[in-house]
Amino acid sequence: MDEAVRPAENRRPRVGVFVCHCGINIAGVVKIPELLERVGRMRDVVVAKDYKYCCSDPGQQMVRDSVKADRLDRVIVACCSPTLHETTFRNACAEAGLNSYQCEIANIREQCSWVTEDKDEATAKATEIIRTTMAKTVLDQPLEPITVSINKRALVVGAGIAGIQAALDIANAGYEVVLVEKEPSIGGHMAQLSETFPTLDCSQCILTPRTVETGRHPNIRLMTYSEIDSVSGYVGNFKVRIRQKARYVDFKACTGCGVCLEKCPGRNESWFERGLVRGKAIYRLLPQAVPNRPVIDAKSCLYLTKGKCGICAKVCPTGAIRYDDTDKYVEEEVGAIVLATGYELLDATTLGSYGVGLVPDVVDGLAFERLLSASGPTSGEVKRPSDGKVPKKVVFVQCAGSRDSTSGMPYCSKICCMYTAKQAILYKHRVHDGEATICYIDVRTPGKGFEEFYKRATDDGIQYLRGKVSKIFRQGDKVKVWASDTLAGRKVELDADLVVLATAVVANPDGVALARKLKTQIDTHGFMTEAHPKLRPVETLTAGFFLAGCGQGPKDIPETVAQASAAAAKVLAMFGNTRLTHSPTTAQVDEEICVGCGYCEHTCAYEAVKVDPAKKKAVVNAALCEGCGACAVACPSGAMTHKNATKKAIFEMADSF
Amino acid sequence: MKGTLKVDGKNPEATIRSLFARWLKESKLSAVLAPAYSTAGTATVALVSDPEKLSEAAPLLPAMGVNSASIVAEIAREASPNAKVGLFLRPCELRAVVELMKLKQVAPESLLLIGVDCPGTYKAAGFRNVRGKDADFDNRHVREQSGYAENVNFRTACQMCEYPKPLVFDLNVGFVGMDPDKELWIEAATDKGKALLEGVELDAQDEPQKRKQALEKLSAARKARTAARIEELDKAMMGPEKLVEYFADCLNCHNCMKVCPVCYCRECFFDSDTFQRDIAEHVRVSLRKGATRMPSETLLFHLTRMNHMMASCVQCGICEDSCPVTIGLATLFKKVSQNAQKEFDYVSGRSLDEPLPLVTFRESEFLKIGEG
Repeated sequence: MDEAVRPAENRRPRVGVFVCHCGINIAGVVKIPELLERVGRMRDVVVAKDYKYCCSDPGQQMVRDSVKADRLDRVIVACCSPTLHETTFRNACAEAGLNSYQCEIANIREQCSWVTEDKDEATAKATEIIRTTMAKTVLDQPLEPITVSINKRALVVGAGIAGIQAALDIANAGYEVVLVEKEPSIGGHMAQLSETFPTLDCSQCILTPRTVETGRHPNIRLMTYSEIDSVSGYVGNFKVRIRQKARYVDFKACTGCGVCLEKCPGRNESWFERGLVRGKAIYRLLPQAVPNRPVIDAKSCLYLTKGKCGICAKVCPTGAIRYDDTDKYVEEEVGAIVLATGYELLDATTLGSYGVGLVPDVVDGLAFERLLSASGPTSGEVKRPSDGKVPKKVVFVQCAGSRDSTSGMPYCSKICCMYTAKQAILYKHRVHDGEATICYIDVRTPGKGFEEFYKRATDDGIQYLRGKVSKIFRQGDKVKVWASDTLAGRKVELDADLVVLATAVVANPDGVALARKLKTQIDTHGFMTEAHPKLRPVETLTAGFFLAGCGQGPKDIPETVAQASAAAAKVLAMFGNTRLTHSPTTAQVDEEICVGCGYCEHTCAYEAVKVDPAKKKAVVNAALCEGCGACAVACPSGAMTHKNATKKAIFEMADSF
Repeated sequence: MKGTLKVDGKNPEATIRSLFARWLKESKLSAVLAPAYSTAGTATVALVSDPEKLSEAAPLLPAMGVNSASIVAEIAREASPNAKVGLFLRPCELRAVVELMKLKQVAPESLLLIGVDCPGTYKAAGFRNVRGKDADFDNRHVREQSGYAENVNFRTACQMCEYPKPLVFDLNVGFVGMDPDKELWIEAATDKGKALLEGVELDAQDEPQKRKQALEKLSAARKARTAARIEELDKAMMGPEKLVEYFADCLNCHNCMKVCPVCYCRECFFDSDTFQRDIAEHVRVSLRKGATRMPSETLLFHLTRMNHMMASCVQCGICEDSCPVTIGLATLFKKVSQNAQKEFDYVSGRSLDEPLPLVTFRESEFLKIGEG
């Protein structure tokens, strides 16, 4: 073990530098003895040592021993990224009696050895990285973690299968859950589906036990036809304002008998039936709706729009109709929030050449699910929208707007290959003499039983045609599909009775709006961003917000359920603590200097900084502050600083280089 | 409410003074902040509350030593129900006041923004000699400037100023495009401004075509000159070496920061202990580089000032006037702020409702840089 010890001056910090070889990851490029020699000559360095794996037990012990033996009051570990082992070494230092915030990581792996080939250059760069880290470390003050109490109730936004699963898991562990759904009943898109791939279970049959359990669960407060108005507070202590939309039906008085549904003359564009049929103005989404209560769509109700009709009120045996109902606001306090806002299908009218909206017999995947579903508008008989005839030739178009960066989305929607195969199989079950052709770019089957399922589809006589569809248009009572057959290298014109587009899965626009409101990160397509793509897949960068389901990215039902349970497990892990600790490396205000201009307040993504109107000074709520430092950058006078990353520290780092 | 106000005795300045006197007597205002001559005959600013002392105020005085927004920031950080001060200020000063209001450094409640046309001013330093013993100097200046008459002795910033008329005001007194010996153009933009005009005899009418044309002509000429000056500046300044050269004479006195009306920090970051080092540190930095320029951080100071001021800079150029080594700050800040504000579709002091560009976020911003 190389060692270079030199006496430090009085009252100057005593810094120990520990250089990790990371096997050959660092030592294979950086010349360790030379580095130690250079570091040993730096001001304030009392000891400079190296070890093969500093993160190993003996490596940590070396740090602990040195802190005590060399009376260190600062430690720098030159190793991998701080996202990996900062906590490891800070804990080791704390065990040896040093304040953990006086231990810093100098990243000489990702930022040096992995990206530098020349050994001399790498050694010089490692030296400079340690030198700049040193400039900051000597200024580090001892800090104590902030602790906050936890309100052990959870909010789940969205009651599709993701939200339902997360809510049930949390509720079954004994904690209260507020489950908010914007539609009148729960189940989400899964309630629209016919059968599910690759096992062909009936979607309703596997979903309804969960919806029923959710509706009856003593720990779940179900709020349907409701939306999140605002969220304030911070992890462990959120205040949520929920807008319960006017339903015009008293849910307590209503028995769900359904007489009103039969008599209502109003016509409503049905979201649930994907425009295949028009619903009533008073409606429920499906017969197994939970809660089994209808609501009135104010836009299509004759009484609410024109003051005429009122038939639902007349026929209702319990007098449950309330035309004077208004939106109500409810406040809830929760400690954690699961965002399960789900997906929508890409508005296919954006794919102009595919004839959506112009040709009635071009439908999207969810509409075809309704045509296949026993509870759908045709009771599961496949009939085409234009004339109700049974289509004898159906063309399925995959990647309609997926993997298409020009007019759609650049990503793969992941579920379409399988659900198109399933839809083709189900179609063949219903229409034995029917022909099904699937136009595809690639068939992707990376899932349990997926490849076998695809095989089954081809064995069932479904024709797979490799090539992209260029144009879909109406000719007589046929739908013409122009495609290419890239395997045969020719253009193809197909005559179809019905065309089903597997349109791209996109983030639910309401979910995108909510994410913006909550200031939680979304990617360029509106999908919510996880805190780490591999190691923190259900957390967000905002503490206390967790992700489940397609709001985070396209996924199938089993993946969604798994992610929802994972999000619930994260919530429960949090609820297992008595208090939450929060890093003390937050923003702080020098009130002597602050003039209350408010730049910091506007810059803060976490609403952690507010200007006190009376004092005209910025105030930091440390529990909300994530320590991102944006406010400190925005503050022109330097009144706002970041603990242990002060402007002085940053200037010293820049200057030391 | 707008129209012409009759000028008595070919003395527009006295006519404006009598307006002040009326407002003070009627208690519509408790004081007026306006340009004034000192007893030594130099250009200054006075807060006048006694109508008898109004002779001290020289509302049309064409010289500028400070941007009076700095004074407003000092006296009107908080509102008071007991004070109603009329700010009789030039367009660039009012624009700075508007920026300071948005930055919460000036409380608007106790203030009335009374503007006056300003086609340009002289430096306050040396103005006594320019004026000489001419008691009618201010009126003569207004007469001359009511049409577009370029004056090479105007301050650098004024020669590039495209806003001869205030952008935000309760009331404005105009003379550009008028015959100021006969009449002034009065315009109230708010209820506060209209209240001041109660009882004032105006010949109500639409803004004269002649005035509109004169204002436009002036703006156009100034924009053309600005473009030419910025082109010259680019030759002198673009690139790191030239930039260093441009600021080479800087003494690090920080005068430019101290006089800037929108430089609103209580303590400048560059005066903070962030830059305090012990001698050992200084020597260490020097050792690493062999030699370091002292005082240090002068270029960083100017770069930071450009960064901090670009959104709110009103291009008044008072920084240049205060520079003991005459660094061309007026053109530089004109360029920097104009470019930056253009990126955000923002004009400093144009509106009280327009949010400051750095407190808002539009997804369409700066797509040409970075990920977009």
